[in-house]
Amino acid sequence: MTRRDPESLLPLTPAMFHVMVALADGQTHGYAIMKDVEQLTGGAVRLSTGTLYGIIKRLLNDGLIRETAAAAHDDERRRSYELTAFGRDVARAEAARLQQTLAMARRKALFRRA
Amino acid sequence: MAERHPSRAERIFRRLLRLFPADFRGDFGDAMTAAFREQRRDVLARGGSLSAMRLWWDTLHGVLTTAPREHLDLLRSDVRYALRGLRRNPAFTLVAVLALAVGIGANTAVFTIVNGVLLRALPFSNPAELVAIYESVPGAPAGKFEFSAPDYEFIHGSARSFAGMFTYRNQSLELSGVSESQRIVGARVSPELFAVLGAAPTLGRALSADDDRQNAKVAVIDHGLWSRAFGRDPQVVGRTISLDRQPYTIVGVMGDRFQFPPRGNGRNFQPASVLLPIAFTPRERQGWASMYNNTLVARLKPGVTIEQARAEIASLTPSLVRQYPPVLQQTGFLNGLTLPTTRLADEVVGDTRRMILVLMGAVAIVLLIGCADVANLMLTRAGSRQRELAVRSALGASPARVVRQLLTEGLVLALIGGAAGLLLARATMDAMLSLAGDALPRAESVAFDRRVVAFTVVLSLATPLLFGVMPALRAALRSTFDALKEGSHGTTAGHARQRLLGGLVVAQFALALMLSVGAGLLARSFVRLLGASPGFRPEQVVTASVQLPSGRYGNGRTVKSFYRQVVDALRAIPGVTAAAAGTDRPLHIEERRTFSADATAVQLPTVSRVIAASWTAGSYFEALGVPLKRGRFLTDDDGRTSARVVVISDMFARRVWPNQDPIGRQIKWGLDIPQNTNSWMTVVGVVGDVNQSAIGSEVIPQTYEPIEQQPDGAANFYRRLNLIVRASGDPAAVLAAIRGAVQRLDRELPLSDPMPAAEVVNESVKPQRFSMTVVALFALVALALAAIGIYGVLANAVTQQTHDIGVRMALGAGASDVMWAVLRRALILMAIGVAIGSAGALALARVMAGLLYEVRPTDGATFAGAALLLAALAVAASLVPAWRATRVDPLVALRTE
Repeated sequence: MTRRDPESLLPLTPAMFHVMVALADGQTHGYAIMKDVEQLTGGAVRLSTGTLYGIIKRLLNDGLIRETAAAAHDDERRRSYELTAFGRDVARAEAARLQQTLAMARRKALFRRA
Repeated sequence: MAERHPSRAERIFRRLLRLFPADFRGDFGDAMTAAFREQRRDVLARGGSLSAMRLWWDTLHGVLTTAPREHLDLLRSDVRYALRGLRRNPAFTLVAVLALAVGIGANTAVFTIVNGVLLRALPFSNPAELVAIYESVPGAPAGKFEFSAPDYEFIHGSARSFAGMFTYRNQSLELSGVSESQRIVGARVSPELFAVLGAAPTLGRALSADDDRQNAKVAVIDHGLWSRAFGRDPQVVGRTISLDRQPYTIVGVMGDRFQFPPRGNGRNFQPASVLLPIAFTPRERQGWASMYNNTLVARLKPGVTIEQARAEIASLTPSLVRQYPPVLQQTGFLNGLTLPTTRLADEVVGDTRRMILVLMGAVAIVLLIGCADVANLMLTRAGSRQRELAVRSALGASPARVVRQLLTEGLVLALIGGAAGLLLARATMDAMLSLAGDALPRAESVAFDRRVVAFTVVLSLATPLLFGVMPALRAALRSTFDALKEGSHGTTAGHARQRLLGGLVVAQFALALMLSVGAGLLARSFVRLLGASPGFRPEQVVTASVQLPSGRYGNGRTVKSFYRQVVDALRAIPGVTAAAAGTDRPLHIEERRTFSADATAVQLPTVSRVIAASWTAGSYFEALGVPLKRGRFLTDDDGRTSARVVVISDMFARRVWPNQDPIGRQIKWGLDIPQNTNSWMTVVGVVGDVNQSAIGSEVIPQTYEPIEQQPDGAANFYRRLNLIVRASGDPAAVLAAIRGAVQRLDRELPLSDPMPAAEVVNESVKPQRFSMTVVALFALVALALAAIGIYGVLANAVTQQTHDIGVRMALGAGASDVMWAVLRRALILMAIGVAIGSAGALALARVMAGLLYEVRPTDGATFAGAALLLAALAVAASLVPAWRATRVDPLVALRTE
């Protein structure tokens, strides 16, 4: 596969980014992602199953994540996913982009206290 | 806990998942259900019905926002895939799009007419409440007739079912004093028109009851005349115009949507440019049993049905008869009087409805044949794509996914075809409308509107179901599973597909036969119509009309003097062999009268004594070429001082004096009652029958009288002069000479309808020419599409059977055997199609019976001709595939094994 430019997929939607962040610590399964995202955002973002798997499908199609070999689990229908190397690059690029955006906003009067 | 019974919540969740595309469900359904189960377990553990509800709400919301997106994604990729496929197969794409474009385009064009003529509401408020009322007696010439003034006034005064009613009649008027004087169509209307139609002028005021009572010289003009003649001058109200050389003051201008009367085929259905008060004269008000020429329009009271109104009208009829003078009641003329009441919209469209519905049926057939073509193509293509589809399904595409893909392909094709069809319809619409001409009721309201576009879109979305479902299902159910194990010849599935293809070809032949028979019947009928003699010889005859304005030609003496002068002037034109003037144009003889005959005549009921009448000056019969049967023609010597004479038509003579010589017998106008003091006229000649209206319509008995012998009083009736000139040489030059001659007599008098008499005859068959041409065109298209279908199927069969053919040739079959095998298949399919199509054609022909002239709907020659045509088509379409079959090299064919 030819090396793709991670920048070409930016910006990610916030929900997509959250899912990738949830996967950053290693492979995990659907419901765990949902819980993780809710925790990471302090309950501000709650993904439903429909939304989550819509995102998973897109991430799979874009090669950002992959399904892992079925982990030993109590339920074989449960599937786990992990970030691909490319996915990691894209997540990093998105994080950098967000940082830049934030830095730009900080330089403006928007955040200065009177 | 791998095996456990799913909870109710889980089952509901699974059901929700059906909103996703099947593939998505297949990929993630189980994982989603598992995630949902865990999520729910946690929520329940935490407790609280509120959080459970919240879970459901979030879940539902998530599914409802994600599922459509997934479908859209899939559609997008399917469309992209389909477009790529279509680009790769330009021949397939071209033929399929063309077939659909022609089918959808023809349907759109005809639907545009259906929409304008049948569906669009008349441009008045609540038009469904408007009805037209007529009078009728058994045996009346046209079935029904308009109202006389006293009859209208009685119904107006007594009917209770209506919120209002008015009466009107068209009138041709000379408009002068604006620019060059011209003839325009006007209408005399009672003032209630504006309230009943719910239409008010946009400038000035409507006609009032006072205008009507005082017979005020005031006019309301329509938007068209305001634009044409006055450049939309906002100051036009108060201006004076000259109508028939009498001054009228414009008091109002109507809006641009207003058009009255609506254009239709019947009498009094010509859109009027000026509306004038009808202002019945005392003579008209007392004109019992005469001047039945006012159309009655009424608006039903809210809540009153047309049936209730009909019942009331029927109950009023006996009282109406009792209003007539007793002597008239006794003649029996009024026996069986009825007042037929129909919706105004239906009355306007009249018989044209049948013609339009036949057209709609014809284009539906064209589309079905086109769809069969595309289905054929897709099936054939599915055959060659079996491996591609099989590979896709081996890679995990479900059968449903393959069906979806094929249907999307169909949709893409149909939408491209539909767009092309819309453009095609738009491009051909003008040609179609000009072909229909004034013969098409409400032609002005035929236009592309949102409804037409919506129709085309719906049609484009619906056609893939017609042609796409079958190939898709077959491809999904059979090829995906069989193709991999099947050899490259596709024998089993190949045969089944051949049967299906054969079925489609049979359907195409059946449909094409129906349409060919329909077109054949119309064409034969049209040829008969053209061959029918109008009763005169139109070659070398030109006609034109002038209308003498009452302002300058106030009485009968001035009118008659003009007749004499104009005939003399016409006779002086070089090359003219006969010239005349009459009260009616050929094929437009409108006056109907009741006569009484002397004691030698057979006794006829009064309605059978309603006949056509014309008044002439000059060599009328010689100019028109009407043959003399007995006696003599009218001459210039039949003047005002000589004995009153009349020439009658052959039919008149046969009806009134069968087996007698009518020469020397006498008739007079009016009923056979002692009070009738009209003078007797002596029959001096019998001439051939002449069509009073369009060729093909019923001919009735007729009389001709010298205009010179008419009383000097009521001159209105003779004011319209129709000049008839027989001359050698160029008709245009003759018409120019006629124009010059008329202008030397009256410089301002406009000449209207100048044309060769042959043109008059042509005009009269315009509706038939229209339906014949359009249906024949559709039949040709249908045949071409059917030919494509049979060609495609046979060519495909030959390719598929290359191996079999090779074997047969190796075993000694000759070229003619192989060729015959292909031809035989074509002919068998054709024969089955013709057999099935004949039943359909019979049904269609029965519907068309009313459109045919002297051709029976079961006309054997037409059916046989259509069948032969299809046989020729089948042979022609199979020649190339048959020839190709003979070129099969047995060695090559067998080597492909």
